Amino acid sequence: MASKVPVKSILKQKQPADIPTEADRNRRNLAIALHHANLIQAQKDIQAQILLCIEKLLDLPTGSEPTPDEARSFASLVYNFQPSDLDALVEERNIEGKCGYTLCPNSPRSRSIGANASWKLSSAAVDYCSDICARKNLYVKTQLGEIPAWQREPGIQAPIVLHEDDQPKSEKTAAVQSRKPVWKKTAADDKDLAMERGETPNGFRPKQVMTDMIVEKSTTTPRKTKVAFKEPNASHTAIEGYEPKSAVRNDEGDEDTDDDT
Amino acid sequence: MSDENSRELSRLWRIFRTTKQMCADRGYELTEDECHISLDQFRAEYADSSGAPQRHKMTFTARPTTEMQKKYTPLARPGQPTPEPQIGTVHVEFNGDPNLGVKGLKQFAQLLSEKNYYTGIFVTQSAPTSSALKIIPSLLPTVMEIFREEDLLVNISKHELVPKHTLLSAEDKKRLLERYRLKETQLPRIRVDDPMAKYLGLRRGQVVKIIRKSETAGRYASYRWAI
Ligand SMILES: [Zn+2]
Repeated sequence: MASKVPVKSILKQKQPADIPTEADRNRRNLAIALHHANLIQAQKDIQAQILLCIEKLLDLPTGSEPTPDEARSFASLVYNFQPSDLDALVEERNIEGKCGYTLCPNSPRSRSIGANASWKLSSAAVDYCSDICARKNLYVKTQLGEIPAWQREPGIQAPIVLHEDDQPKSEKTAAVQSRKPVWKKTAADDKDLAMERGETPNGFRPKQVMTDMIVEKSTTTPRKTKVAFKEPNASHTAIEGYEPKSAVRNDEGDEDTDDDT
Repeated sequence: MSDENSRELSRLWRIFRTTKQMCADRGYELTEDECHISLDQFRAEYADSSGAPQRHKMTFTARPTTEMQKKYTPLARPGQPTPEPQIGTVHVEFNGDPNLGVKGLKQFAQLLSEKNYYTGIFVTQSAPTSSALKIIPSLLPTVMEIFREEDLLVNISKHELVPKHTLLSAEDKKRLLERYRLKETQLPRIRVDDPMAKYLGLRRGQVVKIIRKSETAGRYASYRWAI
């Protein structure tokens, strides 16, 4: 975007000149206005993109089994989602008579059990064909950042990893080796670091906006915010960020009532 | 069962009448009879043999009157001596789906663009999902408006406490601002999602004239800028 150039030049010019001239001030105000306009545009672009992704994911899987390609595109299309966007996807899939989990071809229990489903099961559970799918979807949802994608700093959002059962073969072995799901991780891995250097092939990020926001070179700042913004995501059952396995199921219901308000 | 049918029929009859009156108030070509159809007539035309209303039969379209076209014609500019009116045929559908998502709304949008309708009004029984509503701005310049059935049970413009709202043409708006030496941003505002703004289909930037009756001052007019 053309607007980026004036921002940098003004900051450099300011150092020698102690008293900003009228023209300087005007130019800086213009730069600020442009910066905000760009942010708003980025927000609109990403929101439109998320909507398109929801539409694409509505139709998956195309066959009776998800293909590795479909699994990969699911993981990459939800990258810019906030948790609420995934909820919106579940809602849309249910309207189409599909299980809330994108890679599942079955009907949700709200359809298969019928009108009684809502009092036999918790409100969140009826959106899926089974508890397995509900859990797989939660596994993805937990990884999604609460910060809207247009405000995310580069590297703050790790690539989305699917539940082990749904990972394409090669990635699966890699995940088994690391033995740790991404959302429990405390230190950055190679992927994170590549992302921070901007060497990721993932093309979703609005680079043109983010470049403006990189101020410090230090990596400690993004690391801190990552922890801070993860916290509201964690449930009350988490112990020092670790989610005991047995608590995961109760969590589904809790999370959904929160999101409904 | 037939009791339920007749209740549902009279409910939809009210909704249908309000919708037609709303279109007529905006300036579309509709006859007085159409806007005040009787319940018996409505039953004869739009109910099946069991007396249940058939929403898909209630679909209608209407063309703007020349007066409405004039109101929606932008001011002439150096490059554009004779601008086109920014209004055209309205297409109205009534949707009874229990759930309305992205796909349902996309279908309606597709019909609007295929048939080249300027405005589409979708009267829905259920609330569309938030994702579905996000489609609407992406359709511009095609205008899609969503109304919930329950919001059209009563014609709010006919309520005695609601003052008369009329849209100003671009010409009238210009004259108003010149007379008071105002910028449009200095006018009091009305949100485009205000019930009366929705009723008139106000667009951002338009100015509406509101005429109130007051016991002390008689009738007086005020103006609102739609945001
Ligand atoms: Zn499933």
